[in-house]
Amino acid sequence: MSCEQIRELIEAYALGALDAPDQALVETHLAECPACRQLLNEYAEMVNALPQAVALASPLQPPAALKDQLLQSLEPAPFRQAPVRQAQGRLRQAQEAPQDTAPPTVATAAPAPGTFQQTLPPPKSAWWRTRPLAVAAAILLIVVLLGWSVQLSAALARERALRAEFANLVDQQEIVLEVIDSNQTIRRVLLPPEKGSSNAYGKLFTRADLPHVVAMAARLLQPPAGHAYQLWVTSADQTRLAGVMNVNEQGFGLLVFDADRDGPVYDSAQITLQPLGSTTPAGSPILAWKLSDE
Amino acid sequence: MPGENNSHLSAQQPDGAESNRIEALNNQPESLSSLLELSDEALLARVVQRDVAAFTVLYDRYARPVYVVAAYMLGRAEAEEAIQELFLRLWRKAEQFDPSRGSFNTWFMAISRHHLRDQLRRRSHQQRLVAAEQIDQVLIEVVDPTVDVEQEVWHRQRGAALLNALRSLPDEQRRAIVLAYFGGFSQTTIAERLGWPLGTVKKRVRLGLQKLRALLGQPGATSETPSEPVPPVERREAHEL
Repeated sequence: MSCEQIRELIEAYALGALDAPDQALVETHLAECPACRQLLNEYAEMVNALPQAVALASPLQPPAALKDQLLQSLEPAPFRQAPVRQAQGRLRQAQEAPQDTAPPTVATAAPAPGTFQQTLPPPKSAWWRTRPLAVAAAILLIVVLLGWSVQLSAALARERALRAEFANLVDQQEIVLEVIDSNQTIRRVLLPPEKGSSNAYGKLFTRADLPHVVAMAARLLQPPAGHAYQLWVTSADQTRLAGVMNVNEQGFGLLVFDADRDGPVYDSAQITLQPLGSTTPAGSPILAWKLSDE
Repeated sequence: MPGENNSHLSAQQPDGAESNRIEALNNQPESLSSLLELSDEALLARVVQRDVAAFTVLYDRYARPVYVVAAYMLGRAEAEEAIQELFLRLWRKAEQFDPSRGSFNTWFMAISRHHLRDQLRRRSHQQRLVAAEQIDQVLIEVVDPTVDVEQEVWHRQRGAALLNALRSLPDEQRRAIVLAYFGGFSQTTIAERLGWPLGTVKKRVRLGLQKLRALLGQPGATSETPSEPVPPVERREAHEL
């Protein structure tokens, strides 16, 4: 079939909706046609994302316990017994070697004195010879399983920690989006007090109907050890520490905190770089905003 | 996908920059963001090395779509079994993935689809039809999913554009696609079950997928590429600033 004819069928093929004869025709063509295979791959990529579209639209969730059950049932890498098996195989070969020259029935028939069994160790002694290998293998297996158990426990603990970390991030993310992405959002711009002294800048977001406050700053330098960027807010002549702003590698800082009431109103805000544990703002702020300046 | 043969898939090891990146990550304390930013393929390379944390990230990315579809198709109890089986298989056979044959997404979702289809064959046509219709209904209902954002971030990237595109299709075209993909029906069976002429079914399937492809812009690009890092919250807000 030509490419044109195949391309009449390729969408249905990607969906798995062709009847067997047509399916066979397409597969024969695909085996020889890179261009049609490429087109199919493109459709396959799209079609195989359909479950993700459904998942987005559906409220269904896999039970949380399912993941823990799955993780508990993971096994370590298959235990490699090959060396032991090979050794045992070599032993068996050594044991069976004389059989090559004997009739097949020799092994099960009563041996003639002085022939087969005389040239081989008795079965019991063969077992005793292999037993150290078996014991070593068993010990190795136990060690591997113990190691795996420790690794799995650590992984589960790490998984829980990651989940907690993410949950925190997610909580923050929801608040952040709620506060900054609303037509009720009030934005205040924090700038360096001295123009041109730094290219850092920040924003303070509040909403009249929420107690949550979001502060962001960008282009901040990494703080020296023991120091941190700290956000101070002032209202009714009371200045308080809103929180410490963690800065990522790109110099971006985010702080989410709750005011003591919905729709907090501030007279000023400033971000300082000072030692951790400070109780009052000190030194020249890195970024500042004043209501009176607006 | 029919005829897809995964038996020849070979061990995959990342190379070049990706390899260096993984090496660097292995040499420093693991952080959530470092794992989240890895592509599916890089995570899978770690799974081959028995990295449980990488496996959990892949689980978080893929368990939900597979579970949701399986729950509609087979019921929740069997969906749980399917998840267990598919992810255990992923753990055991991770080295069979061959990146030269396509993305992890396509590979794993194709395996999942084959598995679910096998289970689905035990159901009557009527049950399959109802399940597919249910999925079709879900697709057109505007639901604001309050889901675990850990998964949501990833799936939004992959699925949102496709979901919007599906919603913009004419009902009959979307329905034909859903019945074929999720119901496991051939075009002939769809025609029989719905009383549509076979030619009409073929046309709807074909036009539907062509439109989806056009709506998604770059052919096959239903999302950012898997290697695209998941934007952490800071980056999105940085744009806001």
